[in-house]
Amino acid sequence: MKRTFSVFKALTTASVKNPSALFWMIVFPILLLLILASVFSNVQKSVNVRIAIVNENTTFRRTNFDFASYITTTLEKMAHKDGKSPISCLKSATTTKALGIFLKDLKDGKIDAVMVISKDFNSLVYAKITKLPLKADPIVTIYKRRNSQSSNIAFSILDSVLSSFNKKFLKMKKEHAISLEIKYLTQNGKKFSYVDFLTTGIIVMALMTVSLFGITDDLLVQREKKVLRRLFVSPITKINYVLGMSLSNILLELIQITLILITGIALGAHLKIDAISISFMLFVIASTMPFGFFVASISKSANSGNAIANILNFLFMFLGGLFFPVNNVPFIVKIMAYSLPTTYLANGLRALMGISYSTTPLYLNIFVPLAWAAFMLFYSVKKFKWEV
Amino acid sequence: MRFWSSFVALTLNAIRDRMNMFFNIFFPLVILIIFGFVFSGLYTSSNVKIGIMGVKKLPEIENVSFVRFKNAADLRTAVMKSKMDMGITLSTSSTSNSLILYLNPSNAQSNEYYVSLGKRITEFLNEKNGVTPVIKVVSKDVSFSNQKLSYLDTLIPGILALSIFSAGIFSMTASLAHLRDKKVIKKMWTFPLFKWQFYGAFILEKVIETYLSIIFLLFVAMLVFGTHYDINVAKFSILVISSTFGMMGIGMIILFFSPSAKIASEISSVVYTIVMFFSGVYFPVEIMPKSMQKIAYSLPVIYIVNAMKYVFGLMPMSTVSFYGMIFLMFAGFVLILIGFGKLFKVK
Repeated sequence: MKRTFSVFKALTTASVKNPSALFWMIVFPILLLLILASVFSNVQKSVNVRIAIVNENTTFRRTNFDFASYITTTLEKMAHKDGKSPISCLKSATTTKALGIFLKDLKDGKIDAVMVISKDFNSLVYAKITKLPLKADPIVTIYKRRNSQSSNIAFSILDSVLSSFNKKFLKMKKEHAISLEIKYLTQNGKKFSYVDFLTTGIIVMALMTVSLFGITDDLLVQREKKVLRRLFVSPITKINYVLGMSLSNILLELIQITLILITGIALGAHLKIDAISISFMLFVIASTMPFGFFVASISKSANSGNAIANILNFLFMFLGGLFFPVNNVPFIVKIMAYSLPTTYLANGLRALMGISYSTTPLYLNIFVPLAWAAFMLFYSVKKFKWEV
Repeated sequence: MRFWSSFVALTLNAIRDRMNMFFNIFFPLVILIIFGFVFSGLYTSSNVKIGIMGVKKLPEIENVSFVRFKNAADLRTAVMKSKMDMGITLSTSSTSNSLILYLNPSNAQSNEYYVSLGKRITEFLNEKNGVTPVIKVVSKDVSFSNQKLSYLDTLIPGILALSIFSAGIFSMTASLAHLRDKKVIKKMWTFPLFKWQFYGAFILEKVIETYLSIIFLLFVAMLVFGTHYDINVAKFSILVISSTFGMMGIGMIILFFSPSAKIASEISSVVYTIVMFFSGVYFPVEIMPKSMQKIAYSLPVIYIVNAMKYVFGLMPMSTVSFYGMIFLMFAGFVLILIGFGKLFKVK
């Protein structure tokens, strides 16, 4: 016991004194949580778009039926440079020549959308409301940049403004249109934020990283430097070393979990922390621990161990649905995703922390990671060489 | 002659060094393929499953399939358990009719697309009921190149730019630092070899290696994802070579502060990971908070990413900006020379 504790103390001190290890184990998961949370939690709220309007309408100008000016005035009221308003810049013009300039600006990324109100807009809106038998429609054309997030958001803003006008006009026509209502479904009906989803994913990632890089480094670098060889000349046994190393990593992982949970809650995550969810976190620690032993067993040197750990880390992280759900990936990639342990660990943790329903049954969330862990542990015990 | 001997020796060393090949070719390849599949699926779902209840007529939408449910509770559970990407029910009353769109909030990146599908279905149903909106909204997409490009098409040049970044910095902090730590360079000076011959051969080998690995990655990306571009080959070559110099310069700066190859590699890994998130490759900079946008625009990689998109015909860039950036990247060569000559003391 005393020897195990000595190994634990030595390896923990070594980790604490190693700035690189501290960065990857403690700072990096929190940094990643902060970056992804700030990027994806408030996408619509934080983006300010730049819009240009070309009002080509020539009918009913400066009258009570100047519907085009009502639309432009509404948008002008929404535009402020304070950074809080969704529209940071609104340019307006009335000529077709201006449209050419605005479209060039749109292609060059200087503005995010161009809205064009057609020539007979006011008269056509009036005709539609009063149900005059006219075939032409009052058209508003919105130009947006292909594959541009800010352009899509600008389109959504303009579209929602025009939808609200359409609602009013249909009321005036005494027609009932079907309106779209969006409902986000959450477990127990509580408020959901993307940070909830992310925090649990980052916990699984962080625990996996400690095992993949921490244990691999502890075993392979020490083996390469012949530290292990010298160590086993002393009364310290291999079991003492493995236990001490595992305890040292568990301590780091517990610190990690605490810090990630504090950061997640500070960012507004709604997490259920009870005996069951804590037990599952301990299960995640136990089932990811053999990852490091496995990588160490199949690697001839510390360098190759690092390379294999990097590949597994990327696979488990991005195909395991830790940051984004993997429902929409192609079928072949989906098969890969659902054969990885991290997919089940993240699903299980999210379900038990009350964030979302698990896409996989609970027994699989335990069985699949356990099967991976058992295989990796068995392989490691059989194949790992303590000396090279 | 000695220059070429050094060049051949370093090239053979690079080919035989499995770790070098792994981090220059295999690792970026795996990232390209994984990220290509995962990120392209996030923003433009290829197969969307919509659960419906109470809606009889539905529009035909490409890559969208509808599954009918008998009760709303089952439909909501299917959406929550991600068995359905979204759910739709029609709620009718004497005063208002609404189409309720159920979404799973964990699909943060795809929900925008699902809402647009919901809008299309609402429009279709209104049209079927003889209710047409007074104002007709027409959406038109424009692009710099007039090509119909997918999200993946714009992702690939970004991944290539990040590969130049990693190849550039790691060539200094891993390869050169290892040669220094293993005292290979020290032994070199026992030969009748000028320093410039060795350094010149090292730089040339790394630039060619990076160029070839980028060409290889581009070829695989075009093969696996079926993408095609109008590449300006001359500008592409200038960009890859100048950016490699620029990034090698950054690698040299890291090396200034690193006592050993191990520490230099670790600092490079940290820098690479942070820069990756701010490069605008995976998450558009325009949707980041303002403070993060400032960080992104203060890093050099975003300019390489934009220039790469420009030479691929995906993004506009003025000739002055492009060649200005090329000039700044070549300035990295000065940093390399300073490092070799004075600050980086090779023992």
